[in-house]
Amino acid sequence: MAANTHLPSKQVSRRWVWPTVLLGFSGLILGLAVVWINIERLDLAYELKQLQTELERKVDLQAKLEVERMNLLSSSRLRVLAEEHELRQAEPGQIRILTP
Amino acid sequence: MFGRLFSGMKNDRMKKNAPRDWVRIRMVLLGMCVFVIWGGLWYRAFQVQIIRGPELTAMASRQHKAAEFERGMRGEIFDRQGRLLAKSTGIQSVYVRPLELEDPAAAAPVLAAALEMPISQVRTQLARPQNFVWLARQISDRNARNIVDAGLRGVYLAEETARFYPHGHLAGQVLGFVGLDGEGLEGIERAFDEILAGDKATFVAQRDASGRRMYLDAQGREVDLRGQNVTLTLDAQIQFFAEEALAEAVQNFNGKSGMALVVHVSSGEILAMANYPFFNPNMSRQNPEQWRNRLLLDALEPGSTLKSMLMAAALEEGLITNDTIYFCEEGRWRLTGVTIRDVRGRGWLPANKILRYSSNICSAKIGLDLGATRYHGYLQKMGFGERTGLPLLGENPGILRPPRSWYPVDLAAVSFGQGMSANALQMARAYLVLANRGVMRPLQLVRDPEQPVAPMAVVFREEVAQTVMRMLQEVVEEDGTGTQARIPGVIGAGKTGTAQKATAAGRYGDRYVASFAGFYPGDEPEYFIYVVVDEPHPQHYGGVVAAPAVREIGLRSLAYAGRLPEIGVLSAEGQRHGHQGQQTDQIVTNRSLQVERIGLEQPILRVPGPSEPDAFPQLDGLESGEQLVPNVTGMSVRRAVEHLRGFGVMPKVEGGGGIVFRQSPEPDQPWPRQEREVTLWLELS
Repeated sequence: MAANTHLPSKQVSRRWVWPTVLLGFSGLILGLAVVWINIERLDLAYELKQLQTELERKVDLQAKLEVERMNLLSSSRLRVLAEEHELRQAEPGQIRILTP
Repeated sequence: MFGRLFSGMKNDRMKKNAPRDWVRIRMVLLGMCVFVIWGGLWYRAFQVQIIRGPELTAMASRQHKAAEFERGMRGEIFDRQGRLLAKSTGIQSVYVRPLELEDPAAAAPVLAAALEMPISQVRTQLARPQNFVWLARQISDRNARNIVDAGLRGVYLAEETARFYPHGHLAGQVLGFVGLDGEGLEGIERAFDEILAGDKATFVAQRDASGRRMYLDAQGREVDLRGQNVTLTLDAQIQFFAEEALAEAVQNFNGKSGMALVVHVSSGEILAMANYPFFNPNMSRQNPEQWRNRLLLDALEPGSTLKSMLMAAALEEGLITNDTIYFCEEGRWRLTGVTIRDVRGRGWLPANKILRYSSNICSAKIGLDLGATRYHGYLQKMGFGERTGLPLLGENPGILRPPRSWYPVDLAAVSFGQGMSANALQMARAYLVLANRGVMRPLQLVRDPEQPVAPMAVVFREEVAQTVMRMLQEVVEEDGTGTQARIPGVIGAGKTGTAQKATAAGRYGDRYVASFAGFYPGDEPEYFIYVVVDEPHPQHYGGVVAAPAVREIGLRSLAYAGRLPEIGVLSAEGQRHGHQGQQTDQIVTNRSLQVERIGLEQPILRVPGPSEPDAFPQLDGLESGEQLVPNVTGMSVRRAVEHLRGFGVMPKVEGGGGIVFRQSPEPDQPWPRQEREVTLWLELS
């Protein structure tokens, strides 16, 4: 009975072969996956960095354009343009308030 | 396997005669070699990983990782309408590593051309024996592109931030400016530096072989590092009106400097704070005198504009009523050895006319009756001698000496605005007490972030404040000293001020400060406007120098707000003194602007030509029976100017002095042209 409970060592080693192979193969696959993921992560980081740089550049440009727009719309500049086109401010009596 | 190998060797020794099994020996030797090498590798791995592990890990980190310092962009500044007043943007600066330059002599002209700089300056920079030299800070995008295109080795671009003020000099002294490193140095930029400045943070970035940096994880970088925005109560448009009118006043009357303030009466919000000469914060390396916010830093003797406060205090104390009369000593009064003069001699005057004609003598008498302690108490209640609490640095609290140190002549002087000093903001705060029915409200300059507001305090009874406001209306609308502040169709109120400036020796000289404090509309004040011109000449009266500027600002501000009436006040039929500002219900019978209809739907606005009889609006004194040139010779210049203004004429003044001795055209002659021009020649006495 006791002899039957212990399988021969050859049988035991065979029993562990496939799980070991599977484990080894899984380890290999997981190792490759980690490497692949790290490469992808690095690529993504590069891309993100590029996008971030591009975004910063566009935000800067937008800010400069806004400053320029406000400068073009500033009262002093409009005043000069008005004078060029012979426009002047309304005097009392020249204003009509239109109500619907 | 090794066991068997060794036992095999033992057997070999026992079998001396047997031929040697070299294959087995080689295998053993090979096995030993492999064992030694393998063992060596393991030892090395142990050494690298375990023994020197932390040290090598740190070295690797230093090589692959770098600390990335980030600073958020500085916040923006807006006016009350959301107009951008200040903004930071990224900008490039150029630096050079002279030791890396292959041929500095050849690089200099290329760099000079790219940066539009003098070549001598570039050569000087390149010749410096340093490893790092700034060549140009905060250059334009075009110049940065030129540098990139030049492709010079040893020349690099660095990203920085620069502050831009798109409206140029508009409110320059209020906004202040920042240094090259973005720290606030003056004005709002300095006072709100902590709020405006972006936060700082340091992150660890991965570095690749070429030095490029990237982030492999977030590291909390999603945090917003940008500085907060600040919204002011200023209105850029009204600020522009104030600056234009102020510049014109200072230039026309040869002033040294000037300031103008516009405040929304009911809220106490400052709409404009103008200083002249202007300061453009985009070019901060200017004379420091130019970036002084004089409204805040200069405390001047206010002159007659303080008489309104005296009247209010005397009315509040029940010392006078509107009709209480005082004798004005015909313009000259000697008090304890000091002579007090009025511009024009007058006899008995009621209180309202004392303010209307701005009598120093009668004001001094009211002040003496009121007493130093009581008058000082009211001035203190109105905030003189203490800062207004605006969030700007360096406010001058002015000088208000304690009443126990006032001699009668000091009390007399303070009664007409000499012998004490106040800044423009304090004057505005005091005038707002009158306009806000006796209640003192704090001034405000910043809307966002919200500022702590001082509690309101009742200084005068409502009827007292209203009585003084009516007196101030008379100054403008009747024959007072402020008639040049009239706006047709709008009731104005205000007070002129002409303060003598003390010399370095402590005596009063021949330099003056002209000012005018006005309200529009005068009956329901919406805008308080205060204009001060420092050292104007040859004219120095507040009613001549500053009042027109206040009128201009008021007129344009009302038009901007859509509050300029369209009623026919310009025609002013039959009103001899009848500007009055009274708004009649009469719709314009418009003489200066006529509407024609061409076809069915095309209204054309036509401005009549000068040849047409009604082309010019009729003002006071231009009724049909009064078409002769008035005689103003022998009058004081102020009286003459006021008199001629009644005819719609602003005279040219020649020479120095206070009395008109000659005029052109000659008096009592018909006006020579439709455009009336009068020249007055002055003499000293």
